[in-house]
Amino acid sequence: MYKVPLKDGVLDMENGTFIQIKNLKKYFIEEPDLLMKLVTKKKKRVVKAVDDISLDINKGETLGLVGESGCGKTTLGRTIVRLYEPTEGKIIFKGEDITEARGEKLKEYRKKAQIIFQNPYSSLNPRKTVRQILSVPLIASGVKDPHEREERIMYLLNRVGLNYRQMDSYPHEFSGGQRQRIGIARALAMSPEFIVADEPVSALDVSIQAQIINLLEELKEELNLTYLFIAHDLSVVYHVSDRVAVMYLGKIVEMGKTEDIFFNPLHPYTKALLSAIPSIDKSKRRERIILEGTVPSPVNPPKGCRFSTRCFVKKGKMCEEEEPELKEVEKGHFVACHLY
Amino acid sequence: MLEIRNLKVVFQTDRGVVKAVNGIDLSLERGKILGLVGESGSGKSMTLLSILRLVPYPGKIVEGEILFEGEDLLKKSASQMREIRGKDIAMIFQDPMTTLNPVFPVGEQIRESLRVHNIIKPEKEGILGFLRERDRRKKEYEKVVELMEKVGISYPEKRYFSYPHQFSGGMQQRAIIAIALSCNPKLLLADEPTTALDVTIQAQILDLLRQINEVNGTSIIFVTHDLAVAAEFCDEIAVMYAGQIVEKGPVDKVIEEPKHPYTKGLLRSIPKITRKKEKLYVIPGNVPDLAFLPPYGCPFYERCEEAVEECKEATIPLIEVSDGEFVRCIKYL
Repeated sequence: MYKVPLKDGVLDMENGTFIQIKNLKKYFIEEPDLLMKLVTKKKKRVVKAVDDISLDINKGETLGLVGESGCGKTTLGRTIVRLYEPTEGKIIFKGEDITEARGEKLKEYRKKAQIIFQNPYSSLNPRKTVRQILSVPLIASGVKDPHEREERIMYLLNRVGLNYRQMDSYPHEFSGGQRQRIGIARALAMSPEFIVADEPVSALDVSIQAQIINLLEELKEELNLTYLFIAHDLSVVYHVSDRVAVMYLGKIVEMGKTEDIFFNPLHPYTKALLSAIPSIDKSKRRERIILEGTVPSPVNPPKGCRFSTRCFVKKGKMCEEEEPELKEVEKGHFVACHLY
Repeated sequence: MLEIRNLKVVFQTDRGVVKAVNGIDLSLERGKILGLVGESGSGKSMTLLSILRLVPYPGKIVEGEILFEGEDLLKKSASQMREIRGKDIAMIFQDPMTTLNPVFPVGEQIRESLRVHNIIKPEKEGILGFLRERDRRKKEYEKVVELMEKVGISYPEKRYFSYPHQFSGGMQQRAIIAIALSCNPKLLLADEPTTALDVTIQAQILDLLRQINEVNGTSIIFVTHDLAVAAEFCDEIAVMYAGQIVEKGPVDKVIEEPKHPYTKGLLRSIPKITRKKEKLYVIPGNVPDLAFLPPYGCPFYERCEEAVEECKEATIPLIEVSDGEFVRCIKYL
């Protein structure tokens, strides 16, 4: 297996970069079928869901990923855990390239990297009991002894705050928040080191949301986990993340420490996004920047800066023609904008 | 303008009688925005549906009065109700994708509402009646284009013939608002209109609704589970729990000085963007099963941190603590 050449021979495994994403691309190609090809002049469409993204996640941190629907944040999360095949680029997990991993190697990776899905109603098989749902990952990770498995399931349910007596219940017998707990237990079954949480709380009520967020934070402390936390709710992301990356149309437009992003946003899109958050505190309400229009289609994104069609501080020609690079403007604070 | 008195909606189910709405009193003045806030299952959507008498089977309105401009809607006949729905009282539903009919062009769906309520009157029928129909259609088309422009759909002439799937979520919600506005309603019922949308689109839609409220003087009842949205958008807020209103009053009072322990808990459990990060507050326990609510006592008793022995027994009325501010808690009795 290909090993990453280390920069200056250093890659601190304990505290250093845990996951490295390099120029990752995920394109979905939609080809018209033969009949459509003959009858109409339909061409194939390429949806650039994730377009050239590079980022690092350090051991033990939570990286928040925010953006509007359709910006590719879920695709990025799923590509990182290899649920989607990346079109281009590299995913390096603990110094090992797993972009092309197959068979045993991939299985090993999946033991370490798990995902919690957004919708607790559709991510659990309604025909299987909780015991069956939780057994699958345990069997896959090699727990063959049924008694040991049962003990593990009991421990897992207990850990996520469910009663082990409900082991033989079906998903429909649980409320939304409880189902999400089952989803979390399933992800924990493999004893992973890295978890992609794909909008784990957006389908839940406020009071339940707080329970699940607290649970995720406790688990992180206890099991020394690393999260990629995807959400569109900015206040939730603020609460859980150490660093935040803001995505727009398949690209990262700004990335940095949570405090920097929220209190000193640089990219106009981040500013608009933050100003749109409703707040219960009157004094906190910022002047609202209302963005015109909607996110352009990722099939043919705008030339130059992708945000240029909605930008309110556009510099002119340059923004429409040249694509800005992600640059480090302050320490650890990256922005992709021609203004900086 | 609208007054709801002691409204009760029950669902007869296999598990027993579910009291979805359990004695609600609300009133709304012309030109005001009222926010109904609560978690799922608290009865806020049912309250809204009962105003239009659209409570789904096996639900039933068993008690109460809904006075709209002095007339009780619950006493109206089915055909009278049909005239009110969409014309005097319009509704916007939560999920724009499922509200629009996928097999008709969006413009036609807006036109339907104009046609049903006879907004553009046909001229007298004659031998050339069919020509007049064409004329009427043209006028309706023009009105629809005007409406679409008003709610911010660009290229309305082209978009008139688009199908719902060709619209984005925000645009679909705009089209639905155009349907709701087509007859210039006096009251707009909005059931979580922005829940399915992104923050930036949510800001656009709220801005549009506020404009409608200011320009047309339309009253709005706004149902949401997001307290922050309600705090910014509404004039008054009513917090619902287990089919009852636990606190209502002007928005500043409810948000800044919440009185009911449930409102306090809800406000504390929202993640906030402040310099200091702390663990989120969690209201202990779960929402009670409405089929097994005890007949007396406070439904929030088991989860309440400030509960006393009497809470279990007493039936607590909505108490006026200050001008226009009501709380259902024994501490203020």
